Amino acid sequence: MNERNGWLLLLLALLLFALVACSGDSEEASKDDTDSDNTETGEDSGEVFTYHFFDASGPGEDINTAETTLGKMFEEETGVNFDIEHIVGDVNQKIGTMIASGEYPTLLNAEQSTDAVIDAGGFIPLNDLIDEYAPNLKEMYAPYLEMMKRDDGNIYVISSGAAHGYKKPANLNQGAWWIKRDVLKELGYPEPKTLDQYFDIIEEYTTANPQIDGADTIGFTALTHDWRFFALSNQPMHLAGYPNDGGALIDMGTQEAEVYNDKDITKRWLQKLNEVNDKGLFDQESFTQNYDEYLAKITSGRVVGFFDYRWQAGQALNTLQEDDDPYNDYMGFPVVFDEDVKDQYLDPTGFTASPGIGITVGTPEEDQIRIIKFLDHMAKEESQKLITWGIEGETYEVDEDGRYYRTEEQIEETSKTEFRDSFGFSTLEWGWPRMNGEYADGNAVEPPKQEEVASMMYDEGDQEFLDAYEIDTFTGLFSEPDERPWYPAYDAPIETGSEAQLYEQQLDDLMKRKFPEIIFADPGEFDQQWGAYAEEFSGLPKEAYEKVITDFVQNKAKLMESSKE
Amino acid sequence: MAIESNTLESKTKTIPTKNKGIKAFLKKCKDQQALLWMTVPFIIWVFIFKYLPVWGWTMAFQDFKPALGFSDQEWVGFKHFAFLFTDDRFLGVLRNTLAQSLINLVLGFLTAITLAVLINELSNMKFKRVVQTISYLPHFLSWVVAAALVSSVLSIDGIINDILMGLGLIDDEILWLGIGEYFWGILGAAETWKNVGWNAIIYLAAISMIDQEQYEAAKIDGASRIQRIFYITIPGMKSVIIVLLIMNIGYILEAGFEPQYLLGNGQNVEYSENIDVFVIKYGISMFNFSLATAAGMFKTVISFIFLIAANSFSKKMGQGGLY
Repeated sequence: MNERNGWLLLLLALLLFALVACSGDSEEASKDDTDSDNTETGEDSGEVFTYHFFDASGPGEDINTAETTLGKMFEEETGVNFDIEHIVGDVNQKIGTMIASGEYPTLLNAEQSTDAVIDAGGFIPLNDLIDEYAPNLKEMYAPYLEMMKRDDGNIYVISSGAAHGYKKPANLNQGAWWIKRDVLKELGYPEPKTLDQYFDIIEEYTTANPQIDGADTIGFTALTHDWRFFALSNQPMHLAGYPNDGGALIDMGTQEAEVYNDKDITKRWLQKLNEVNDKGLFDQESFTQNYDEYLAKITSGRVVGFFDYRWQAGQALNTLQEDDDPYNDYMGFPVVFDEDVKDQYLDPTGFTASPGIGITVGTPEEDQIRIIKFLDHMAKEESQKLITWGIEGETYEVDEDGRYYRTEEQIEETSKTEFRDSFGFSTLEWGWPRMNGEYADGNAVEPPKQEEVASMMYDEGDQEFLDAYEIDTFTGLFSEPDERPWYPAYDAPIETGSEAQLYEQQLDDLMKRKFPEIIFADPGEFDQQWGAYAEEFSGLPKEAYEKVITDFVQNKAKLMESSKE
Repeated sequence: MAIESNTLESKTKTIPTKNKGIKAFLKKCKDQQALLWMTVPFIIWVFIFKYLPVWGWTMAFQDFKPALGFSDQEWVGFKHFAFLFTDDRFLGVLRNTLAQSLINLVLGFLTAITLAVLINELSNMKFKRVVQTISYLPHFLSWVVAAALVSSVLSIDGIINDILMGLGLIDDEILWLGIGEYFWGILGAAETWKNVGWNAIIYLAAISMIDQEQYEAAKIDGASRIQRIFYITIPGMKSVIIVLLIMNIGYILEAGFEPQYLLGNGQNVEYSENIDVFVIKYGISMFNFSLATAAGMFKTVISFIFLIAANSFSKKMGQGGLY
């Protein structure tokens, strides 16, 4: 070998070493990472363990729980805190990547992909951990433990919200047909009860006011973007007097599920929208706008009315609420098809087994125990009061009868986003082990549901409308929910790769393709368009879906019944 | 390096090559061992990233479940292919893919070549640079941003409607993204806007390789500017154009994913949904990795056929191929 070749070989060897060293480095580094995660501030007694929690339930600020007042208190009690990472982008894709790679965070809320993670064996069963280490958690979820179990008898996730008694909410968080307050005021506070009355109001106002603040008035807009399409397709179910059970109507007597997408209620509703569109009241961009554009449109004040769930339109409605003008806010109405239909917009007491948080596979046993103990600590009633009411004397007061209330300053303070963030309400109030309804001492779990708090939350602008409609709270127009032990039916696990899952996807595609055609059609062609849609719908495997939902509903209702006894 | 390879070449030439067989081969290997060693990392790279993943194709014939080991998977034969090919929508999806791809291919080539020729004809260097920079800037925008721009330009109160209304060309605003038939055109225009400057770079490089003396000679012979373009510039770029064409034909089923996904909606789905979007909906989003793999295999096979066909066609036409 001559000298030149030797140099070349040396070069090559160096290159290879560099490659190997690089990959070796990263592996070691990541190992170090997890090590230090667990042994941070390694004092004997005050040892603190940090775990990674991936939360797919929604976007938010990525913080460590111990950076909040509440989280710090919990950390002092349990020695555990969590680095929270929120989802950015599409849930299915993000969770799908986790499943495919088999690399999970320690604690995971997989939102709508929970079933897929369970099917892929991503969560560990919690049954034994709960039995051994979590007496408080067990007590809080006692009525629902059976429902939390999957077909194989294991509990994989703990959901938020174990109902103990029913409290009617003072403010709407569910679906409603919203109308701008300005419109209501101008027309002398009309109360729309039926779909026809609702659109009459919109028509009357839009005809008289073709422009709002220089922009064209939009009579009625709809949210249809991506997976949020249900905000449109759920409407006939609500109009017919059902709560949000998802893709099927559940018969109260037989507890049979029946899909409604080809039924008369859907046809009647589409016909109305078709007619509304013909009058120029339906937003032409309803099917091309995305979620952000939709929210921006509502915030702009050009929209007379829309249907949505309060939590989904929340960003826009909160913005309007926080400014000084009480008339650009929206007020929600329980609109139905006919006056004799009883509305069911408010959620019945129900238990949702999924989504929830679960510990992922590959977590060492001692870490599992620490985490479950943390969750158990949260399930103590005193912790629950901390995460809903806060600290006595700071964020709430107690009167001589033991009733909780908040002073005006406290109400203002606790409604500020910065305070909620720094105190930990935003981070810990929902998504973790949580009860609903009433505490054993009769106080409401959630302050806004406590009469003493609710009555003080309304300002003058609100009061004007409450008085005009002769109600005490904004849910006053809504009927009490009937008992539906299976609620919500959309909680039914749909197996990956099953016909029922295929039905959901195909139906979604079909509706997204056909509903615009039907709604935008010339009224003379409506029947023909509807016929074409119904024809295609008949080819979908709806029986498979109905069977899954029916089985789930009947099973859950039975479990509910037996847990009562 | 250049010197190195020259000396090696001259060395190998001195070896009597008539003496064939293992011995000669080994001798050659030994003489060139430095070169051989240098290729090793790349062979390993190609093997790991291009050949090992082919093993994953087995997924297409299983009901793949991520949690299970390979031996525990359920084998289902051609079930996923059958689902793909019997789905009513698949033909439409295939049509969209091919149409979108062809439009992109033709528009992409014509506009990029035209732009390159035009830029080359500019004599003011400053203006030339400004034009080139502006034209390739959109290439660096992510599609998420670009799609938001496109959809706001095309919205009812967007600038396109304003201009057309102002010129009196249309009576009513048009909801461009709400009309399926327009989608291919919108997509083609958006792709062109985004990529034309970038694609022109390689043609500009090809033009700069053309011998300047040819232009001078043509000038003396009295060739006009247009004639110089058609008889010198374009023939000079021919080999690059053909290589790129063959390579792009291989990607005929890769019509892109992001713009179709981001600009697609219920109203234009019959024209916007291509294979990649279909795979996201029915494969990845439903955790049906097997179906996604089957669709990927189908695409690879078709691409392979197109590539070979284009290559041999080009050879037959006497233009030389990729290989």
